[in-house]
Amino acid sequence: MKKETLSRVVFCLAGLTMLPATAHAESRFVTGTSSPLTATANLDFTITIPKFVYLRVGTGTSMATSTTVDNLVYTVPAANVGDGTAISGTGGDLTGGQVTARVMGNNGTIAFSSSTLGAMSNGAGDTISWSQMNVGVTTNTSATALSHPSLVDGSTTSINLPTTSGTKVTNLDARWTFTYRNDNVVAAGTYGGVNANNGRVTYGVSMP
Amino acid sequence: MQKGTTLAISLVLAASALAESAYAASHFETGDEAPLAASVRLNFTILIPEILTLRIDPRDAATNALQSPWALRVPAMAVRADGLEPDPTTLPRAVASSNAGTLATGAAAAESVQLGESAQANPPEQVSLAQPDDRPLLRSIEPTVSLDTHSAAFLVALP
Repeated sequence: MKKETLSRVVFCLAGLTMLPATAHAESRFVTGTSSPLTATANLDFTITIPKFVYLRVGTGTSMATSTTVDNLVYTVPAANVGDGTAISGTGGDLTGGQVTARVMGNNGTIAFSSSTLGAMSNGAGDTISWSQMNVGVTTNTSATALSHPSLVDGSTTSINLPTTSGTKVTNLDARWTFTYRNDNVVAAGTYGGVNANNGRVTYGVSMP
Repeated sequence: MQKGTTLAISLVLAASALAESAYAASHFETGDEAPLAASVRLNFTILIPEILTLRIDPRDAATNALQSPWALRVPAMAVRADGLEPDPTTLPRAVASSNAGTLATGAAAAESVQLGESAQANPPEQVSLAQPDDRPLLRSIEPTVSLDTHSAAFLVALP
């Protein structure tokens, strides 16, 4: 007896769920004497947006992963060692020690960080602190320039980026120009390098 | 046991390969992971040349010229412009600095060039240049030169 009751209930529920589907079919034929005589048909749309995050510093590929890593080189003239004259660099996708920086994401506030392994070294026991590397930030295509997380010796610094649309979308870019402050007389040598002597900065983004 | 060890090593290698490939100039990442992360890298190189400087103090900070009453004559000679006898307490100093190693020794060759008198050569004097500090980045020596004569030439050299 109970089984029969349960079966009837299930059958009725199934029938009810079928009703809306038949009421919104993709074609409908109507006839009669009413005026006006109307017919409706429905068409559904679905757009799927994947969650993504994109980070670029230097020679990158738009919305793709690139294997190129830029190297910014600063050659201090002998007559200017430690005299406080800012030294411009070479290299970078915009040349002259200038790089394109961009962060995009679509799922909430993005934490943006920079990390160094330590002060730059010449391999002979002498070091130059990352505080000697100045970063100039100017707008590129976004109304607000992408800020640069401070460079600290052997540490990671992080900033939260503002969303640019709603509460989840961030699309910020900038032109970053790095210059060597040259505030101190330091020992001769080549400091940093391509993944050498702590000359590499790693930038990271993290999105919920 | 061997299979487990092999699997663990494989996982470590795969993780390190993934981490390396994740570092580039641009990184696009998509998926359902939370948080979703991406990383890129940028290299820096700073080239500092060797320098060795030698100067006579005291100098005027604004003009970089030897302060009165001292005058600088080539090569690096210091005499009183007014020809008076020098005051030992205000004798100019030879200051040498370098960023490429210890300045162990130097030499000062002095000769008499009293203004208004005929020059009289004195034997060169060897001056031992002390290293007053042991800072690793800047080697600086500041010997005070006692000038019985009125001019001196200084020479310093890196090892």
